[in-house]
Amino acid sequence: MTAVVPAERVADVLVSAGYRRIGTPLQIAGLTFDVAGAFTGVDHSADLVIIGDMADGERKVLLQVDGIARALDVMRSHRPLTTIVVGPRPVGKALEALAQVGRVLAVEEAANPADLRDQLAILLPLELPASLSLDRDLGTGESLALPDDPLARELFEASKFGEDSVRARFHAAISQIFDPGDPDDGETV
Amino acid sequence: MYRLKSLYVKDFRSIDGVVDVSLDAPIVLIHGPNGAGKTSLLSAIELALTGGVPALSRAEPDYLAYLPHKDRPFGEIRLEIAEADGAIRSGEFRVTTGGISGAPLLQEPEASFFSERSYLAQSTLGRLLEIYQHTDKKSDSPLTRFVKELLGLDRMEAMIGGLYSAGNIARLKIPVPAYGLARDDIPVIEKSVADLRRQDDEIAARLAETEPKLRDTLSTVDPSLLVVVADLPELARRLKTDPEELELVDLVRARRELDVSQASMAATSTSPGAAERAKAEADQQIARSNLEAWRQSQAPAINALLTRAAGLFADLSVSEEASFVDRARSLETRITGDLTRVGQLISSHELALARRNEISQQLDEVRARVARLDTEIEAAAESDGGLAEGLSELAEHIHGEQCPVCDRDFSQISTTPLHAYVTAKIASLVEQSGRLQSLVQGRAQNNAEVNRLERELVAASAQVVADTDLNLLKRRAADLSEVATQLVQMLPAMQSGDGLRSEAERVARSVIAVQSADQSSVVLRLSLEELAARFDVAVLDGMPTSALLDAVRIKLVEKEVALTGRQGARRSAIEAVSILSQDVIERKRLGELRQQAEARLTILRHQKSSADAIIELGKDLVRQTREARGHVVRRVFNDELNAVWRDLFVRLAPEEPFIPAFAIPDVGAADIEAILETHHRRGGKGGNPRAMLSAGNLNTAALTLFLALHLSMDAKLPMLVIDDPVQSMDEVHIAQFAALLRTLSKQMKRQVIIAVHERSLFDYLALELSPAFEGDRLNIIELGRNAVGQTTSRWDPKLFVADRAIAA
Repeated sequence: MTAVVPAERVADVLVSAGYRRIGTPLQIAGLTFDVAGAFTGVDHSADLVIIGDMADGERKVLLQVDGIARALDVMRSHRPLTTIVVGPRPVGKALEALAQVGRVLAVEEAANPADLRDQLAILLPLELPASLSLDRDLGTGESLALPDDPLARELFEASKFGEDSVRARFHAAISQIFDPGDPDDGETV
Repeated sequence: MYRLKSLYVKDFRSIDGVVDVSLDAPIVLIHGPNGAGKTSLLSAIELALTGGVPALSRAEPDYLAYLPHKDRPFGEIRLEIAEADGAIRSGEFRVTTGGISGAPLLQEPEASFFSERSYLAQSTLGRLLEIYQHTDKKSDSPLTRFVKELLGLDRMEAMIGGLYSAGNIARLKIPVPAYGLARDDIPVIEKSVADLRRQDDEIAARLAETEPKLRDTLSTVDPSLLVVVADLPELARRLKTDPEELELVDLVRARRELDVSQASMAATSTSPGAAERAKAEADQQIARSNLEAWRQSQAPAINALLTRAAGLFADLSVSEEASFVDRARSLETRITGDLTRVGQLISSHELALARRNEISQQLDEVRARVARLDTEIEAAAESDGGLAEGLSELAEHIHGEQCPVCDRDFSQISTTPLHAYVTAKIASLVEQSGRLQSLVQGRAQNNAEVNRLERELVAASAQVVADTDLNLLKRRAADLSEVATQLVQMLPAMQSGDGLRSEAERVARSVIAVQSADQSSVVLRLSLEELAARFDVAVLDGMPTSALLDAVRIKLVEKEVALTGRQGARRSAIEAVSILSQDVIERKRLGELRQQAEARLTILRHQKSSADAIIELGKDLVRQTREARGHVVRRVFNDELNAVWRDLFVRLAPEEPFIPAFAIPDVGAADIEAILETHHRRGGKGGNPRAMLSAGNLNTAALTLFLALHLSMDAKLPMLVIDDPVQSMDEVHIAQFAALLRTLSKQMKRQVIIAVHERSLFDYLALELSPAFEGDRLNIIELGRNAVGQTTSRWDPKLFVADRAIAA
C-alpha cells in the first residue's frame, strides 16, 4: 500500500477485497454527490460504501451522506449504506446523524494497515483458515518417533481403536512378563 | 444441505392458536414485540429437530410439563426440512402436560450439534461464557469438550488415556497386580536372604566351637571313636552302643550283694551263739507250760466275763487276738460312757416329773384367778360408756333445772342442781367404764399366762420317760455297774495271762533266731570270697570277714567312680554329636532355602526390570504424544480458532482494544483445557474476558465465540437460529451485526433464522438482509396478539428487486 491519502488507502483495501469502485462524483437519481470514494459490493453483496473525508469539512460529509440516503430511498433502493469516515472521528450529533442512515466506520488517518483491516473487517470477506478441518491426529497429521520396540508399534496401532485398546495392550504386555504362560502374547519379553 | 422449510405451531408455550409460516429462505427474520411468541417459535424448531429444549431445561428441569399453552390440552408442532438431496422430511410433535410424543428429525450427534452450536437461545447468550467454562471438576467444561471435538485428536487421546497407568506405578496396582506384588516382594526376599545368610554364619561359628570339644571328649571316652568323627550318624550309633554298660550293671548288682552281705553279717553278730541254743529251747518249754496252766485256771472266767460285757453292746466286736487287758480296757471305757448316759436319762426324767407337778399347781392358781376376773367383769358390764357420751352431749343442752328430755323440773325431785347431777352421773359412768377396761386387760394377761403354762406342761410331760422304758434303763444301769466292777477285779489275772503269753512268744522267736544264725555266717563268707575273686581283690589267709567286706567295697567304689566318669563323658559326647548333627541338617536346610530365595529374587528382578522397561516405553510414548498434541493444540488455537474468533470479534467491536482468545496450553500438558483470556491489540495479554470486557463487548465476545465454534466445524448443519441477540447492543454493534449476519448467510451459506423485537432494528435488518441477487430471498415473519390475546402471525417473502439507484 503506497497511497498517501488516507481515503485512497481505504480504497485500496476495499478494491482488493472485491469491491467495485464507482466514479466520483457519485450520481444517484440524477443528483450528484461529492464524496472521497464510492464502492459497491459485487456478487452477493449490494452494499454501497462511500468514503467521507472529514478534511472536507464535517458538515459537508454529513450533508452528502444524508443526501445519498434520501436519494436511495427515493429510488426505493435496498442497498445498505456504509460510510467510512476518514479523519477526525465523528462524535455526538454528527455520529448520530450518520448512524441513522447507515453503518459508520471510523478509520481516522488509516495509517496502520493492520488497524485499518480491523476497522474495515465487517466489509471484508470472512476467511476461514484452510487447515480448519484438516486431520491432525496421529497417523495422519502427526507421528511419533517410535522406539525400536514391537510393543511401541503395537500401542501406536492400538490407538486407532481407542483408549481401552491401548490400555489393554499395555497392561497385557506387563502382565505377560509375570505370567509368561499367557498364550495370547508370545512375542514380547 | 439441510434447510428448514416450514413450521406449523399450535398452542405451544406462549403461542395461543396457530402459527403456520414458511422458513424456506436463506434468511428468516422474525419480528414481534416482547411476549409475542418469538422464543416459543424457535423452541418449537429445536424441539422438532432434537426432541428436547435444552435451553429451557437449564432454567426448569420439568419444562416438558409446561410446553402446551396454558389451559390448552395439548400443543402441536410440525416442522418440514429439506435434506441434502432435496427430499422433504416432516417432524410432528404433540405436547401435553404429561409429556411429548413424536420423533425428532435429527439424530445424534447432529441433534447435539444443533442445540449447542447452531441454536443460540436468548437466555443462553448472556451466560454463554459462564456456561461454556462451567466445570464440575469431574468432566471437561463444554468449551473444552467443543475444543476436543474440534481437534479430533482421538488417537492421541487414546494413547495418552490408555497409557495413563504408566505415569504412576500406583495406577498399575489393580490392572496388573503382579507388578506391584513383585515390587513389594523384592525387598522382602532380599531381607530374608540376608537373614538366612546371617543364621548360616551363626551356625558355622557354633560348629567351629563345638567340634574340638567333641574331639577332647571322645579321646576321654574311647580314642578309637576319633576315626569316625567326620561321620556323625556312625559316631552317634557307636556312642550309643555302650560296651561298659553291662559292666556297670554288674557292678551295681555286686554292690547290692555286698550290702546284703553286710546286713546279714550284722544280724549274725547280734544273734546268740550256738551254745545258747539249748538254753533257749528249755526256756521255751517252761514258758509254754506256764501259759497252759494259766489257761486252765483263769481263762474260762475271764472269757465269760468278756463275752457278757461284749453282749451289752450289740455293735461291739473286740478281736480275740488282742490282749485280755486291752479288751477289758476298751469294754470298760464303753461301759463307763453308757453308765453316764443312762444315769443322765434317769435324772432328767426325775427333774421333768418335779417340773410337771409344779406347773400343774401354778396352772390351777391362774385359772382360779381368771374365773374371779370374769365375775367382776360381768358385774361391771352393766354400766355403759355409750351412755356417758350421750349424757355429756345432752349436758350442753341443760339450762336451768328443766330436763331437756322430759321437760320436768328437777328441783322438785332433788336439791342438787340438774347440771351438777348429770355431771356427777357422767363421772360415775366414766369411772365404771375405766374399771371394766382394766378388768378385761387383766383377764387377757391371765389367759396368756394360762396358755404359756399349758405349753410348758406339755414340754415337761414330753421329758417324762414311760414306765417300761424306765425299768429297762434301771436294769441296764445295774448290769453295767456289775460288769464294770468285775472287770476291775479280774484285771490282775488278765495282766498275768497277757505276760505269760508274750513271754512264750519271745522265747519262741529267740529259738528261731539261734537256729538260722549258724547257716548264714557260712553263706556270707563264701559269697564274699566269690565277689573278691570277680573284682580282683586279694584274699589273705585268716582275713576276717569284716576286713574282706571293706576291701571289696573300696574296690567296687573305685571301679564305679571310673566307670561313671566315662559314662558322663559319653553322654556329653552323645549330646554334642546330636547338636552337631542338628546344626549340619539346619545348615543344609538354610542353604536350600537361600538358594530358592535367590533364584526367586533373580526372576523377580528380571521381571521387574522388564516391566519397568515397558513402563518407560509407555511414559516415552505419552510424553511424545503429549508434545505432539501440544503442538497441534498450539497451532489450532493460535492459527485457527483464535484467528476466526478474532476476525469475528473485530467485525462487531472494531474499537475494543482487548480481543478475547483461547489461552495457549503448555506443550506436553497433561490434559487439554480450554481457558479463555484476552489479548491486547498491540500485543500483551489481559485477564479472563469476563474481567476485561464491558458487558456489551462481553456479549459480543460470547456471540462471536458461539459463531467461531459453529464455523470451526464442518458445516454439518448449515443453519444458525439466533434469538434476539441484540438486546443489549448499541447501534454501532447492531449495524456491524447486521453485516455479519449477511456475511454468514451469503458467504458462509448458513440458513439464518433470527428473531428481534425492536422495530428500528427489524427495519434495519430487513434492509440490510434484503435479497441481493436473483434467487435470493428474505422471509419476514411478524408475530403479534389480537384483542383477546390470541397469537397472530403473517409471513411475507421478500424477493430480489434489481436496484435502480446505482447501476450494478
